[in-house]
Amino acid sequence: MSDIPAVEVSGLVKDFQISLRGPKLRAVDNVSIRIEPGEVYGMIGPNGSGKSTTMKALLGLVKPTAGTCSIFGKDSLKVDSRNDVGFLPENPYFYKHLTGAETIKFYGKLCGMRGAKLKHRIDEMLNLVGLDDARNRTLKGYSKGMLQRIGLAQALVQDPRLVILDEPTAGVDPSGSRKIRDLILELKNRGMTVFLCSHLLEQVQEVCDRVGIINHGKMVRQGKLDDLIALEDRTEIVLENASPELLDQIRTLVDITYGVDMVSEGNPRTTLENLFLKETKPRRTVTKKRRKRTNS
Amino acid sequence: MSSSNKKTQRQRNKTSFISPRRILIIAQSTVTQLVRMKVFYFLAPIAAVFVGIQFFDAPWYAGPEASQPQQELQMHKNLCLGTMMLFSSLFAIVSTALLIPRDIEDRTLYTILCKPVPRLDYLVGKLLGVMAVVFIALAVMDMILVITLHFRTGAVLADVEPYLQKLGWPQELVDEKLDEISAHGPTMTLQYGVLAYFFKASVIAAVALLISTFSTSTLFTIASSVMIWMIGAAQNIARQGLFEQGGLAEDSGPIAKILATLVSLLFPDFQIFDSVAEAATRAANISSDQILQLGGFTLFYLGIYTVLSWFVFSDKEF
Amino acid sequence: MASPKKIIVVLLGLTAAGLTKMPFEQKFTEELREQRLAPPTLSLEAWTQMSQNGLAGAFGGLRSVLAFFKSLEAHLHFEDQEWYELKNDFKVVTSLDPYNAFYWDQGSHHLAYNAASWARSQRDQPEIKRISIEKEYLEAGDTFLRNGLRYLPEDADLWAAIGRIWSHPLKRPDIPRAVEAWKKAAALSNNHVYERNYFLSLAKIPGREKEALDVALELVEVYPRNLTIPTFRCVLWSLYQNPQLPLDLKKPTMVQLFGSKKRAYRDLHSYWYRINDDGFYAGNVGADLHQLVIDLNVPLEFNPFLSPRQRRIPRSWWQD
Repeated sequence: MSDIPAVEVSGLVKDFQISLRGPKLRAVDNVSIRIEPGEVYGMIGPNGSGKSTTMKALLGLVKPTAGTCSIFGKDSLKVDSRNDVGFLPENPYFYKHLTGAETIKFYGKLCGMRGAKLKHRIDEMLNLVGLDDARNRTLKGYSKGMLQRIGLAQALVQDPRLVILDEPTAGVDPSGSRKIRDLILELKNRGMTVFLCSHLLEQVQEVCDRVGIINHGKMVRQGKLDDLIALEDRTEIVLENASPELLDQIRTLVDITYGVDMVSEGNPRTTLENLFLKETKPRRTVTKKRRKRTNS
Repeated sequence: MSSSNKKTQRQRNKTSFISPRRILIIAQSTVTQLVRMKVFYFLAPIAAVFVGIQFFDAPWYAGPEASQPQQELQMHKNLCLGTMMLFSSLFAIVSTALLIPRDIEDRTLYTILCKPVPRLDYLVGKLLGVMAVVFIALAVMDMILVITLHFRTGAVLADVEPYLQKLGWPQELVDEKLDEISAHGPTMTLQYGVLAYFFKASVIAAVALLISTFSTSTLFTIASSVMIWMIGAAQNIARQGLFEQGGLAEDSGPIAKILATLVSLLFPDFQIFDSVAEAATRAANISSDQILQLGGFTLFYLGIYTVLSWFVFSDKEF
Repeated sequence: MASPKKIIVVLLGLTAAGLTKMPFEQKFTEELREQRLAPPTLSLEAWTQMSQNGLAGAFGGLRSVLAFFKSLEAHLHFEDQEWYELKNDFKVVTSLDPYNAFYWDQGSHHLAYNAASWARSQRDQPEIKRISIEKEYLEAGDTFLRNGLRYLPEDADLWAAIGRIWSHPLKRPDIPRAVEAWKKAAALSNNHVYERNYFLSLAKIPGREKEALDVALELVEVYPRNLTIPTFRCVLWSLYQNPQLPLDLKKPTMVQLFGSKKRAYRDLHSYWYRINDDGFYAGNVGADLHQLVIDLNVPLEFNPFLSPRQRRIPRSWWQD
C-alpha cells in the first residue's frame, strides 16, 4: 500500500435540501473508500443509491456535508486535484458543433496542453478509441457508442493518473461495450487507476480488482473482488473431452466421500455476449474469381 | 525525471487562480458555438434593412431646399443605430441566458469543470465569448452603415452644393454648410456611438450571466434580463429624484423614495450609454475622455457582475 | 435555485456597488447634460402621451428612433389638418429628442405657417375669430421655437425661424420681434443672410434709421458683397437720404453705389413696389425715381407713377 492513495473518501456525508422547510435527503451516509494507485475499483448499487453523488463529491461538483474527499492527496474541492483525473459522465454530451478532433483538442487545451504535443495526443487518443475515421465529423453525427468513446478520449487526453467512469457502457451495443472493457483493461495494464460505476455486473466482475456495494447511501460491502464473490465452500472443475466412464468414477467418488455433495453438473454455457460477438463478427466476402474457380 | 516530465508534474501540481489562456480557450469555444449556431445569418436581413433605409425618404423630405438637409442623414443614422442597439442587446441577453443552462442540462459543464478549470475562468470565458460575437456583429453592421451613409452623404452634398451656388450663396458659406452636412456623415464620432452600444450590450450580457448562475430557467433569465434592461434605461430618473432639488425628492412619499433608492442602487444606468450613442448620431462633440469614462463604467459593471456571478457559481452543485 | 443566503449577499453586493458608482454616474450624467449630450428626463406629460410601444422604446433606449416615428405620425396629422394632435405629437417628439433642432423647426413651421394659413382660410368663420386663431397659431409657433432655444441656445437657425415668422409680409408681421430674433441669429452665426435680414428689418422701424445705417456700414465693411444685393443697396441708399443724418457723413453717389443711373433706376423701380408690399423704408426713393425718369427719359411702360405695375425692367434697357 502506498502512502498516498489515488482516491481517499473519508466519512463522506451528503445531504440535499429538497424543499425550503422540508427534511433533508441524505444521499450519501458515511461512505469511506480508499483506492490505491493502479487499482481498478468498481462501485455498484441500485439506482439512487448514491454512486453518482459519491463520484460528484470526489470531482468537486458537489460539496460534502461532512467528510473529506481527496485525489492523490489533494482536496477534491481544490482545482489542483483535477490535474490528475479524467472523468467520463453517464450519458455524456459534448459540444455538438465540434468535430471529434476538435473536442479532444478543446479538452486538451483546458488541461494546459498545446502545440505538437497536443496534436500528437489527439491522434493517439483517436486511434486508441478507434475514432480516427470520424475525426472530422461533428459530434452531431456520432452514435451513442461513438460518443462514449470520444468521452473516454477526452477523459484520457491529459494522461491522468486516475480515470473516473460513470456507467461507461450504458446504452452501448455489446461490441462497443467489449471495446470499452478492453480499453479499461489496457489502462489498468498501463498502471492507471480506474474508478468505475456500472450496472453491468459481469463487466465489473471482469475488470475490477476491488468492488464496493452501495445501497441507500451506505457502503454495505467493500473489498477485493475475488474475496467477495468466492463461494468458499464450493469448488468448480471444468473438464474437456471427459469420457462417460471418467464422469461416472467422479460421481461415485463424491457419493462415497463424507460431507461432500454434488451441487450440480452439466455442460457449461457460454455467455450471450460471446455468442452475439461470434455471430456478428464481420465475415470475409467471397470474390468473383474464387467463385468462378469453384464452379469450374 | 526529465525536464518535460518535471514541467508536467509542475503543471499538475499548480493551477493558477485565473488563467488568461484558459479563459481564451473557453471564449474561443463559445464564439465557435455561437457562430456554428448560424447567428450571423440574420445579419443578412439587417444588411438589407440598412440598404433599404438608404433609399427611404421621410415624407417631409424637401431635397436640397431643406433648411437642414443633414436631417435625412440623421434619420438614416438613427434608424440604423437603433437597429444595431436592439440586435446587440437582445442577442447579448439570449445567447448568455442559453449558454450556461445548456451546458448544465447537457452535462458538458461536468466534463469542463472536471478539468483543472476554475469556475471563474469558465464564467469569464463564456462572457468574453458572447462579447466577441456581439463585437463582430456590430463591426459588420457598422461597416454596412458606414458604406451606405457614405453614399447618402455624397448624394446630399452633390444636391446641396449646386443649389446653394445657384442661390448666390458665397462660397465660404456654401463650404460651411457642406461641412455641417459632412459632419453628419460617417465620422469618428459615429464610431463612438457604436462603441457605446457595444459597451451597453456587454453590461447587459454580464447581467444575464449573473441571473443565469442562480436561475433554473432560461425563460426566467431572459425575461429578467429584459426587465433589467428597461429599468436601467429609466434608472437615471430615480437617481435624479434623489440628487436633484425638487421633483421626486420633494414631492414623493417615503415608499416612492425607498423604491427610487433601490432602483438607483441595484440597477445599472443604461441611459449613459444611450445618451452618448444618441449624441453621436446628432454629430455632437463627444470627447475621447468621455468615451474613456464610459469604458470605465463598463469595466466596473462587468467586474461587479462577474464577481457576483462567481460568488453564486463557485459552490453551485450539479 | 441559489440559496436565500446567496441571493441576499448578491443584493448586498449590488447595493455596495451601487453606493460606490452612484455619485460618479450622477456626475457623468450632469456633465453630459451640461454639454447637451444627454437629454433631460421626459416630462410626465410626454410619458402619458406615449403609446405602449413608445414606452417600451423609451425604456429600451430608442428615444431618437421613437421621435422619428412619432414625427411621421405628426405628419399624418398635418395631412389631415388635425392641428391639436399635431401639436401634442411634436411635444412628445421634442421631449424624446430635444437636441435635434430639426424637430423644433418642423413643429413650429406646421403651427406658424400651415395651421395659421388654415385658420385664415376658414371662410365659414367670422373674420375676428379667424384672425384670433391665426394669431394663436403664430404665437404657438414662436413659443415652440423659444422652447427649443432653451435646449439649443446657440442655434442660430431657430432664432432665424422666429425672425422669419415675424417678418413675413403675408402674415402678421411684428418687426420689433423680428429684429430681436434676426439680431440674435446674426450674432450666433457667420450667416450673411441673417445679418442682412437683421439690417433690413431694423430699417423698417421708424426712428431707428441711424442705427440701421450703422449696421449696414458695418456689414459692408465685414462683407463687401452685401452691396451686390439689390434690396440691400436700395435700403442703404434710402437711409443715406435721411435728413436726420449728420451733414459731414460721407455719402456715395448714385453711380458709386449702383454702378450707373440706369442700374439705379432698375433697382429703385423694383424697390418702390416693395416699399408698399413689404414695408421697407421709403426714404427719398420716390423723389429719386421721379428725377431718374426725367434724366433717363424712361419709357412710359417703365414709369411706376404712370403705368400699371411692372416687376422687371428688361436687361436690354438698363445694361450698358
